[in-house]
Amino acid sequence: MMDRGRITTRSPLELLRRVGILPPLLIVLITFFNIQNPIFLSTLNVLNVIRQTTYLAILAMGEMLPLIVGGFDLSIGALIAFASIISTTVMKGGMGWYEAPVFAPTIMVVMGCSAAILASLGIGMINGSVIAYFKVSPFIVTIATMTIVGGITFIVSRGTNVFGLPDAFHEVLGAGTIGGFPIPILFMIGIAAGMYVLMNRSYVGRYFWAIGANVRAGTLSGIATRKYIILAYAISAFLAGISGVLLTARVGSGEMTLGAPLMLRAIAAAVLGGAAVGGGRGNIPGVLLGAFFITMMSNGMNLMGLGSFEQAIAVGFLLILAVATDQYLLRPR
Amino acid sequence: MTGNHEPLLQMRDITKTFPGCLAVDNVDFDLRCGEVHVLFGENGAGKTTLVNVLSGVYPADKGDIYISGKKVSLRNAHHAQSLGISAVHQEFSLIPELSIVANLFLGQELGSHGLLDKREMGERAVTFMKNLALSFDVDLNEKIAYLTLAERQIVEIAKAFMRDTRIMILDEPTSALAETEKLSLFKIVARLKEEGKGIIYISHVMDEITGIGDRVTILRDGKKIDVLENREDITEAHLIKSIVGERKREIYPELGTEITNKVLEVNNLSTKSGLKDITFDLRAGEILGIGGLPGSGKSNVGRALFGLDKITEGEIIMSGEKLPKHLTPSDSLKRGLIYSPADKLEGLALCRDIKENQSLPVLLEKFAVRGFIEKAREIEAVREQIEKLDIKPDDMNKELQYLSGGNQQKVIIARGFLKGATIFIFDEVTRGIDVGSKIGFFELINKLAKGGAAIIYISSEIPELLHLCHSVIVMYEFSIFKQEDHKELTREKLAHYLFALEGRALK
Repeated sequence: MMDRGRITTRSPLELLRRVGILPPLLIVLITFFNIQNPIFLSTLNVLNVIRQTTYLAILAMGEMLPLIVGGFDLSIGALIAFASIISTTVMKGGMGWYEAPVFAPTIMVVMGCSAAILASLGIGMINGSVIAYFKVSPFIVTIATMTIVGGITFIVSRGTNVFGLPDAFHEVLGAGTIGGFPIPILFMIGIAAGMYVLMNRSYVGRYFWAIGANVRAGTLSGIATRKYIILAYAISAFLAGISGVLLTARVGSGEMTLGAPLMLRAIAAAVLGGAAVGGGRGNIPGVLLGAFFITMMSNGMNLMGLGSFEQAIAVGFLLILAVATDQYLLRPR
Repeated sequence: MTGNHEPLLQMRDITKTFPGCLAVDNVDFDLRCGEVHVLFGENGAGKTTLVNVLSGVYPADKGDIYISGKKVSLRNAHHAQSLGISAVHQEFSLIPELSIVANLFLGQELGSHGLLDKREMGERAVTFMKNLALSFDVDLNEKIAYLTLAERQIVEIAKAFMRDTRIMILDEPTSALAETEKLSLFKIVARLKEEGKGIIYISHVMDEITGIGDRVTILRDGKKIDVLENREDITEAHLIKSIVGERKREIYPELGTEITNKVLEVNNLSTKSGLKDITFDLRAGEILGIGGLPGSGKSNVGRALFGLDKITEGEIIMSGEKLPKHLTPSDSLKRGLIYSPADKLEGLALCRDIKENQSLPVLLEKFAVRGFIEKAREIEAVREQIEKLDIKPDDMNKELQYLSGGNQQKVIIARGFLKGATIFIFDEVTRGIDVGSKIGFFELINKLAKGGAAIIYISSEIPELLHLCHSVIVMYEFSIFKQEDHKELTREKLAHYLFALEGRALK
């Protein structure tokens, strides 16, 4: 019988092919870490891992889109620091203008965050436009914007971190909860839900996949491919802006070097989650799992008492293992 | 003269199959020192496959190759080259990002201790090009990417001559050359002959074959039909007759008779890709064939109508409405015209599934409500097409890369059905698929026309043009050479038109 878009009974290998190597690998590693240190699966630690995952997950969901349309976005790390400095500078500037009326700090927080996120969005649109219209390699374009954005960040901050922000910023966006749920996690859930709908329920996701798989097929199907390539980079930068603002709220000050290691981890998370370098593949649940996997790895190894260099080596090996396995399993038979 | 009669090359019982297609069937082929031996036949007759076996591109399934009487088994293209077999292929083998010099010396660079001697190579290349006497006035340090098509072809030829060659394969070497360059090439060929080399020459141009051929081997459907041993026998009449002869019969459905209103009118269309002054009409229920040799511009007609080639002059009127001059694929799709490209891979997203590939062009229009996809409706529609077209496998979640060529083609046709298209353009729809599926396609296309669709059927297969189409346009050098009704058309006439030989009487 023909199936109606559902998984029917398949061999174990076929099943593995469907879900990828990540879920079984996760199960193995969770068991391993928990044997090493039973604290690993305590409620507190699990919540901690999820909270730490938030920023990386939002970033990786964005990074997934340039990967799906067959490109790269290397500027998102720089955008985190950029969003951090822009948002806090605007907030602080505003604080000076108002002589402490009651609502002012809240308004300033909103303005600061909006300014940072919109500026990031603008940079993403520039990335996308140059890539789509001038056919410059995404690698070059986003490296270039990375250095430009880094320079702007430095000039705006004058080389110092930004302190003295409204209390509400950290208290609400950084450490606040609604109904017991940390606000950053709620952001992540909201964004994940939105992105899932975009990718799986709307036509936009289909277009992203199709363009990445074969841009000529997209053109032949009457799709304005350039528009969607720009959209992919715009969303990527937009989410980097949000992630940057949330991370800034968490640390409580505008920091010039925030998020530097996150860019490579975001790409790793997306690729681990099934996004193909070269385009055409990638999905939200996979990317979330990928982000969780990377955070969990470092948490588990922390609990084991491994240093960050040993961790880096282990993560690197696992990345190669996971991607190589997927590549092998996905080969046409 | 045919030089001495020592056999330089003997190919015995060569057989090569591709999935669903017997490309070369027990062919014997001989080449002597100092002769030009022409391979002649229709498209798909097996010429290129045969020389690809000889140049080590792929191994034969069966058969032996002897060079100077010694049996050889070719491992790969590099091995063939080391045995003195050089080839100028139809597809270029140049690396666009490297200079002309670097391409000429590719794989046999000069230098020592791992360092390249660029000066030596540059000087030798200049001398070499001068000796070749091809009119070539380009700085040899220029990158291939900046050369015109004709210039690339000259470099390609030069590269083959650079090597120490005993057997030279020239597969349609003149298709991009100007007259003077062709003459220079023939001079080089003459020189090679004098030096006692053997030349295998594939061409569709009659004057070239009758002009430089010493012998001609004629292939049809992968079989050797005849060898013209004497120069006196190599005449146009002989050659035409040889490809016209009876061949295995494919079954064609009876043509529909209900041809109604005009749905497409093309007036004096010219394009940037080179089409000149194309004018024709298309009516509902009609299957209009477009034929032509490779490089005749037949595919460009389809591409222009779909908005893929830039229009410079003329107009396209679809159902009474003039199309915008800057036509895009989405303009054409919107008006119910769908195009299936000659290169199937161009139209398909191989790593996505059947469902997504089928519904891609119609997603917004048919299945999306306020941007959201109504999956149940989509699945229903896709499933209906899978059943109707008998797409295998019938699992709509299967990625396209796991489908056969014929089934991939069906997915593209399904798009047209989903779209409710009224005009279908098929470009080489049966290329590379087996006979059974071919017959299925003929019936499908025939039924489509009987149902009121208008069809443009671009093909290089003479029988298909002859039996499947109501009327046939033959392209030559990017213009319409001739349009004729199928009732008037015969194999002989069509073959003549393809080679632009109208009016010259058969001897």
